[in-house]
Amino acid sequence: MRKLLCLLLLFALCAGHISAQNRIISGKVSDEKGGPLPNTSVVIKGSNSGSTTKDDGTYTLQVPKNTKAIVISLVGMGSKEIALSETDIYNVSLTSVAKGLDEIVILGYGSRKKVDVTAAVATVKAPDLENRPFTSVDQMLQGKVPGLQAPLLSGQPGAAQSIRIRGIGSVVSSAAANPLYVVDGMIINAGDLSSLTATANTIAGINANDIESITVLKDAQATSIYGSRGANGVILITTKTGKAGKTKFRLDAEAGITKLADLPDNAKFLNADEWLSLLEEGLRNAGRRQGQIDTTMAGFGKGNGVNTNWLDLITRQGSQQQYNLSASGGDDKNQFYVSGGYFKQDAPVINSDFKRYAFRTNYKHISTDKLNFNVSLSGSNSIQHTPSGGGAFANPVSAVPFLRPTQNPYNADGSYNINTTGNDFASTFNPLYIAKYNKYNLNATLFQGYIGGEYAILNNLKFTSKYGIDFNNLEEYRFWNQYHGDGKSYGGSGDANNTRYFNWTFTNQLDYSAYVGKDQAFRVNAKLGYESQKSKGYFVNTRAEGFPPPNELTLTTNAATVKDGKVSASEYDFAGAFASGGISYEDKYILEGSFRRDGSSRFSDENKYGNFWSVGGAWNVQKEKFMDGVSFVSDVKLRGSYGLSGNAAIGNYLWRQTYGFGSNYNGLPGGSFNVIGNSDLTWESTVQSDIGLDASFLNDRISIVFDLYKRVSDRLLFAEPISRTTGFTSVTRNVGKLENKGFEFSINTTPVKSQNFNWNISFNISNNKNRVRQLPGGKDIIDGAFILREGYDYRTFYVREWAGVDPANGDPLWYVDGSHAKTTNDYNSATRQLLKSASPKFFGGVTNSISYKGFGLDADFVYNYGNTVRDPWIFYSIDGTDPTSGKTKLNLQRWQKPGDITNVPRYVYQLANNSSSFSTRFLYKGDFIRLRNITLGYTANDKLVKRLHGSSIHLYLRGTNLFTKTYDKNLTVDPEQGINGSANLDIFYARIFTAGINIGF
Amino acid sequence: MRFNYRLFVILLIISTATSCKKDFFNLAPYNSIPLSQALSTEGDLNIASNGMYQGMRNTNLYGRTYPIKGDLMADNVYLKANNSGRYLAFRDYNQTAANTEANDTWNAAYDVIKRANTIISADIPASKNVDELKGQAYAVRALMTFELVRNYAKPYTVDPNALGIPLVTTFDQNALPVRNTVKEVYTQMISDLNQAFTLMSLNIGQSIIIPSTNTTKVLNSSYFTKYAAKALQARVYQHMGDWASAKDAALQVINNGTFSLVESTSYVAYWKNPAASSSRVESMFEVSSDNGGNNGTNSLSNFYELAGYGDAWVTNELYNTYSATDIRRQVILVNTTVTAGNTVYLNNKYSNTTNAADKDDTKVLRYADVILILAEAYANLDDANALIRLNEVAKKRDAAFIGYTSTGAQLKNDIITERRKEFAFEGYRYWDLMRLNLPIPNHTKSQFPTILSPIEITDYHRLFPVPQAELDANPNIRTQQNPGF
Repeated sequence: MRKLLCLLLLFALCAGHISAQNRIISGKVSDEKGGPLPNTSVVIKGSNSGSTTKDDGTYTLQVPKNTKAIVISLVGMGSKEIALSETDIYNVSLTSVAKGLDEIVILGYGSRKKVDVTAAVATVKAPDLENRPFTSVDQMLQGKVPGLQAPLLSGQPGAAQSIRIRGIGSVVSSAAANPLYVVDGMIINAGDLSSLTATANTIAGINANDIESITVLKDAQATSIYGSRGANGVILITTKTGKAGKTKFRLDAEAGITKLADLPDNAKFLNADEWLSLLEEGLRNAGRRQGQIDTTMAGFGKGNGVNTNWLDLITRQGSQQQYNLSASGGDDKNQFYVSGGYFKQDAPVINSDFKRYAFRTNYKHISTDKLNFNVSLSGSNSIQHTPSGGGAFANPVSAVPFLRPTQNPYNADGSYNINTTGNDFASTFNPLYIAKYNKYNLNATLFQGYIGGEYAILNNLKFTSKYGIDFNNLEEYRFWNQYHGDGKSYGGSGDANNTRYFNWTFTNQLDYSAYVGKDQAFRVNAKLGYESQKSKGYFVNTRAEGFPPPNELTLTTNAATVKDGKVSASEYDFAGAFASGGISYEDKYILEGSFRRDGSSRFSDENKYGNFWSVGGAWNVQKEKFMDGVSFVSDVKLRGSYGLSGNAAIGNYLWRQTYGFGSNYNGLPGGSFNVIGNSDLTWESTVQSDIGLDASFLNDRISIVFDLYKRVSDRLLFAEPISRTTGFTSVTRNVGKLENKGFEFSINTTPVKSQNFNWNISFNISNNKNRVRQLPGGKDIIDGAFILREGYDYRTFYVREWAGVDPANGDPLWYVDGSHAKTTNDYNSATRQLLKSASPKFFGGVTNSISYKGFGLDADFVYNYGNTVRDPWIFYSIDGTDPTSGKTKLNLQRWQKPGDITNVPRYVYQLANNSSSFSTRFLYKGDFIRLRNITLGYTANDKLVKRLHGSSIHLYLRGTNLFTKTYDKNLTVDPEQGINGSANLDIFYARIFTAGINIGF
Repeated sequence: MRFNYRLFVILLIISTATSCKKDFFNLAPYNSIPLSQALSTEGDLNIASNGMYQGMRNTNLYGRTYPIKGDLMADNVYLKANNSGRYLAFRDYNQTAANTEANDTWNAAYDVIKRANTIISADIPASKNVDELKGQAYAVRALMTFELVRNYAKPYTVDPNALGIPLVTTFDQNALPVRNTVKEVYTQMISDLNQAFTLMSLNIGQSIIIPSTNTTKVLNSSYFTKYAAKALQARVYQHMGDWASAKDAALQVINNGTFSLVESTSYVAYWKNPAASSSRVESMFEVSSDNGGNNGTNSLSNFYELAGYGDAWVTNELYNTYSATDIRRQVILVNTTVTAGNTVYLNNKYSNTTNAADKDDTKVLRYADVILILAEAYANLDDANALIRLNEVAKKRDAAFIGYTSTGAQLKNDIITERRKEFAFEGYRYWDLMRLNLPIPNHTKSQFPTILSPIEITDYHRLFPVPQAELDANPNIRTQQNPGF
């Protein structure tokens, strides 16, 4: 099959080229008022070759003698077909049309007029992506795209972002369920490539202000052309390009502050007096005698006069800034877009920040009407400081719950207290000292670029070739000081890692389109292509220990002992042939199909190749005669698609049974059987069906998009737990089946539209119902806090059910089983139940825009409903199990005397009754509505702008995460958590205030 | 010259079509080779052997958990009040089936068994070196099996027919084994150790020489050797209460192994030294940590030393059992500053946390153990040699000590007390109490003030639960959880 396609490609190219005599036509395109329309496309009907109008609306075009008609079109102005006669001059006027109809939609390996699209896709355009206080564009999509979940994972600027499109479709790893990212046609290495940094994201290297649009491919018709990697959706990022005409400059500048976003009250900590009285009560309840109580209390700081609010100390007000300058323009032959940008954000937590310097050059040269070339190069350098993550004591967010308010961060002389005896930092660390002297640096360089060309072999047959590179270089440096914290026992320790990914994509394709049949009523298009991609990671990991005092020179060249200096590498590649074709009858009935055959290094010889396909159809009901009289309907389209796409997001060498090295002993090389291997391993395959309706009413004042979908991921890649007596914990197999089905609905309305006052509201809601349909042998799989059971949601918690506190004695109670017939105060006697899920039932966003004259007020809300979030770290900060940690305010509600009705048990010093172990007590409703952005803007009127010799001026004030409504009073964490709904002592989210200006000239 | 576009396009297509080749997809890993090619020579076996020993350095095995558990769950050490939160379940006796230590030690021990089985099942013609290396693997498999069975199953002395642990002697990724009985497990260990003793011919200080890879590996105490395997067998018999066999095994070591106890003048230096020894003094087997391979902040020494977490402190009661002239008291530090107003005792057997050049090894088998096993065997066999062997150790450690003179039950008690003093902080104490089925009246929950939390023999937390993850993945073992969990 693969060879056949290669042959076909060659054949198609060698096909004859009918030469014809040419003639030159020209004219002017204007709008209904007679104004010139620049940048209007003028093409020969049935082909891709053509030209665009100049600033004055004029065009000239060389056409073959036998050309019957030309098509003139401009976004927002519709299109007109002009039959050619003897004359060579054709002046055309276009009238502005309801937007949407002639919109171009970017799809995989090409684009389509919106009217022809049979797939479920969503587009987010530049205005929703520019000048947002988020480090990466993937963080801006929450609430914008129906069916797409992108909850923030961490307030760390530059943090990795998980995205789920139409539910969780893969389970082998969290990254595996992310969509594929394609930037200007290049498949990129997206995600966290770092090795020492708690969280990082290659997408953060892309300047969002350079992005023209993001297209989210959701259904099989859209994704199967990406074959083995389209199953979880595809995010196509298209960057800005220049257009012929006067050079346009644009300056965007904004500055502001970041502050700690609201934390739930229960996430705040007791002050010294409260903490000490809790300690005293705990000791008394533990039966300690007064003398013992006094000694213990004194030992933990009673009477030392210290009252430290650790949360205040590790949080701060930071700054947010971004500046972008771009120029775009060109002429008939050469068109360009160049930009430079700077972005900076401080987290509201100490030692957590991000800076990015970025540039981009997109250039297009039109050699002849048959041939053009593209060159693109973008680069960025991101500098990110990221404290240790999770439960590490060096993580300032993690330090807070473990520190007592009676601990003094400073010595009497004002220096940092790093004493490790008594009430000081015996096993915890002073986070202020760590933040000052430890270093957690990531310096990431990203280069992406391509060279490409298009050649019109025939009027209606185009060949496109593109070679793109995606280069990530991550220099990471972690320094642990020698006086306090993790580095103390090493005499200071430095890790320097260099990670490099070089990834190339080479794509060649032929595009054919033609009108056929009587009156050329049928339009056919076809595509045939071949793509190969290879990525190599190269990793240098070094470490040295034993630094000279006093921690000023922190690079390892100063250290005494080299501990590590190793190099490793890892590669994968894919190659595939793809084809697609479609036929459209009078833009009324459209039928399309696609096919791709992929091969990859990630599978064994027996399972190297996979076939993926889709079919889709659309009916533009509006074009039917019977709709002519229905004036309140502007547009109605029905869509449907069905197809198969794949996923191969597993380790590069997982199918091989290997014996690995590195388990060294006494400085001698050692090896062990390290990967169980599975030569049967193959693609995960996802079958998806989709039915959609696009409609608009009342001259597009109301437009809706509705989709119903069902996608079934079969042959799920799965790290199936096996008996640990094998020496392994799991083996990756294609087992199981997972189903996601749901609906997506979005509505965009313009209740008021007038000269001075406009009001627009858009709202979207998505529902996804996830069900595990098949597990190996039908057996349950327990995955940490979750259980996988056939018929249940993939993220169903498997948990003991909290039954409250016994009013008689303050004991914690759990239900013995699901019947709730009996309670027990013995954690081990309570059985785990399937309760709640981390997956939301509904989610989406609301955008409200009001404009009056030059003023505008935009508010973006995001919301989530029906999911459960979990706080696994509360274990230490509630109840008496770990009495020497800080304690949250929730402890104030503890049981104190018989008859007390409360949810917090009796506080007993060091009582190990598992009261704070994982149970439904620490599962909360994750419902929230968050005001993601609110922007007050002013656009200067033309007069003012002209006087300033500009073309546009816009000023704005923006607030981010200003308001959050939550629905569970017990919450101890922010309800916006990642896909697993589990808080992990992440850097707190910021509330950001910015003021900005955009100037065009 | 007119550019020939068509030719250009065809060239492009041809260049892309080259990636249609099958080789394009054949990307081999950079840090591993196919298992099927990994073990075909003596040199390969030697590399696999290193990997096997490295597995035992895991924090969940001898790297930290095993030695901590044996003292913390007994009465030798306690966790300071403001500790780092590690091993609380060992102090509190409240572990659940989801307990991290129970889970992680299970996984790590079976990982080492897998590594040993890879060596044992390697299809390589027998030779002196192959025998030696396979013998070591048999010994390691027995050692891991021994640790597993005493952690997860009732002591042999309590019920040999109780459920033991699954025995795994060959690799099968689909295996869903049930628990063998304790007796079956001990039988397998004795057999493995007999095999090890037969296959191995080298003692500590001798070398494995592999000409093909130009390897000369001096077998120091960080590798298993012939008499170390026999010493382990003596310990296995001791745990079975098979005193006649324990005596025979111990005597074989003592008569033929040419080991000696460390002199009291060298005692402190012996513990200070982080390196393995080739001298056949005291150390018979230890798991090595060095500057390149160690557990960092997750090491045993970091857990004990104040320069690290300094979480586990010595109970006052243990400290007070040593006489002032006992050299072993020299490896306990007396500290009056860490807790104001209180005198605190700190273990100093592992003191190389901040030593950049080398890290503390974990002693697994010492010659003193062999002598004290022999003493205990004699005592149980009513042989007067018991007192001689007991005093051989006791007087070596305390020159001023006039020696034990007890008999009968008191003598056995004295042996256990002497073992407590000798092996403090090496993870022995708990297992002495377990195999003798004794309560732990002085289990210390807090020292300032002293809060004891006596552990009765009926407390089901004395055994580890079979890990929840194993029950979840292996339906055959699901009904075989230890009672209580």
